[in-house]
Amino acid sequence: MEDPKNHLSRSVVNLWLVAGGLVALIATAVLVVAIVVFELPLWVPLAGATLAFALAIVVPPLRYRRWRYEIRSDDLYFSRGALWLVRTLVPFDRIQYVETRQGPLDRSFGLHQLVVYTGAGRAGTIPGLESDEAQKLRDELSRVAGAVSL
Amino acid sequence: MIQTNRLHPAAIAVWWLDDARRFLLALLAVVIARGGNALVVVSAAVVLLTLFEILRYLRFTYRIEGNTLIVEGGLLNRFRRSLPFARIQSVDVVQKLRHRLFGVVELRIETAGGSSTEAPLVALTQEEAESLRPVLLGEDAATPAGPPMPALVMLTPGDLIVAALTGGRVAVVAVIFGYAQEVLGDELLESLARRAEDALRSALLVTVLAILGVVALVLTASVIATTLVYWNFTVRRQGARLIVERGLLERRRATVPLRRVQAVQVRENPLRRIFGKAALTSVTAGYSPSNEEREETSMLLPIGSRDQALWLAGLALDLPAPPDRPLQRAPRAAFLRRLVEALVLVAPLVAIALVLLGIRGLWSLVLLLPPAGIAWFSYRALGFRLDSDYLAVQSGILNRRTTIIPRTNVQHLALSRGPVQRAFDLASLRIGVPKARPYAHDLARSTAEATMTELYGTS
Repeated sequence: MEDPKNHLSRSVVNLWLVAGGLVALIATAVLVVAIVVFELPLWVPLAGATLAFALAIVVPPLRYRRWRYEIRSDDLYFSRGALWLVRTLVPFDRIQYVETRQGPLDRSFGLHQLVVYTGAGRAGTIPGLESDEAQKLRDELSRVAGAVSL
Repeated sequence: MIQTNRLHPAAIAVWWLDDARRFLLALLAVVIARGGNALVVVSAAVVLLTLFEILRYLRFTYRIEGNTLIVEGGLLNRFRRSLPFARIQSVDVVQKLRHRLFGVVELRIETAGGSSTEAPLVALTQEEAESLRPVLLGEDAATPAGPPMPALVMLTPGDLIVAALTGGRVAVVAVIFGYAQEVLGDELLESLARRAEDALRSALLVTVLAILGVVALVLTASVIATTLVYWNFTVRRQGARLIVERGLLERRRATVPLRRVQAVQVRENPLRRIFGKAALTSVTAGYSPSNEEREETSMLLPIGSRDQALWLAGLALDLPAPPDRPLQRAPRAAFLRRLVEALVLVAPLVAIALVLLGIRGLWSLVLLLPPAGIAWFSYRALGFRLDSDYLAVQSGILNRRTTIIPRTNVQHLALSRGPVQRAFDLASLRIGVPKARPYAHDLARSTAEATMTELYGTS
């Protein structure tokens, strides 16, 4: 099976970097508290923080490279995952509805998420879409959705 | 013509009994506290409650306007509910003990997404209920219901006892006992019996008796519960519906429109597998009763042979033939993957043991056995089949589940490959079906991809 064609917006990498950085910061803070409480040696938080920040820097570009989506003739096809590869296929006639979302981080980068629902619940979320692209996708999918209703 | 209907007057009594039960504790408290005056208080309460229920009855009406059922009622807070037929998922006929006293039935109407029964018509005559049901389910009243169909499933009390003795809780106890016997050995058990003869009051015997007592209790409770719930269990097909009847004290009659059945599950616990027995439950869209009731309401066959379960599965899913073709085994690689993951899990423990205990730390290799065993048995439990009309997925070491989904009910598909799976060229498929999340674990990658392309034409 071929990979889907389209990449997400480039700026989603920055979004993930910021989000990952925040998580790494929190992890470091927890570790610092832990050494004070449990009197652990200093290398523990240093190693932990290094690992957390390394992951926060390495993972986003990898994720970006792997995240693909495509509207094909009869279905929506997207694939993702750095370690766990997941490919999802949603036929148009099974789509119940589509929505776009924008969290606080998304807003600061001008990005949108697209959530697709079928009769079985949420089929998947495509993050990191530019406004135009998100709107185009939403309208296109809403148009073709639900030829068969549950 | 719009005709406004009242319930059967027995509704007064049904509501009365229902509410009286709620006040029973309060009344008892009054009787105990007030002694002599209690009689006055209680009779006043009885009279008030009776008046209340009579008024409630007079206010309660239902009517059918076009394609909508309208229920109105309420004393202080008047309510008016309209239920478009299109939103009605199922209509159940329930006969509790208090209904039986008056020879009436309750009609329960469930709607999509509704968590509780929206408009229970608590007391109707059998005939009213029977004539109302097809109308509410949006079926053509002109087509005759036809003669009562022969029962597809009819359980005897004997079947029920088998079901009870091999049910979930009992299976757990049996497995523990079988395991204990394996470990202790027959000789030990025999010597225990011999010793019991001369040491009647030994603590050991007391323990054994206590355990036996618990087992007897579990078995009895299971038999009673199963009998009450599934007494006289029958399944019939009527047109495009399945009609499931069951219950001893509370007679229930559920109507399941076939188009609502999204998938079925064949369930086999270890004890039932020994006897070749299985249960069959349905996965329906929209219909969502409370958690503890879900298994009972979705039950299509509490116990039967695996063949019988599959035959019924074919009928419930409206398949041209029973989905009884043999399942494909998972590839050998699936076992290797599970083994590798078990090793990765245990390896650090072995390493620590070696560091701490030196050569004696090798004993910690024993730790590998249970995960390796689980890896083997979970691999053996896997099964998959993509047939011309359906998809079948099987897994579960102890409680084995085979989910059967008609191809047309698959909503979406997700294919996933973890790091270890990639090394062994495996993939898992998650199948999007309402209310159930069946997974086809560890297929060969080619099988998984072929399934995806075959189910959804384009590649």
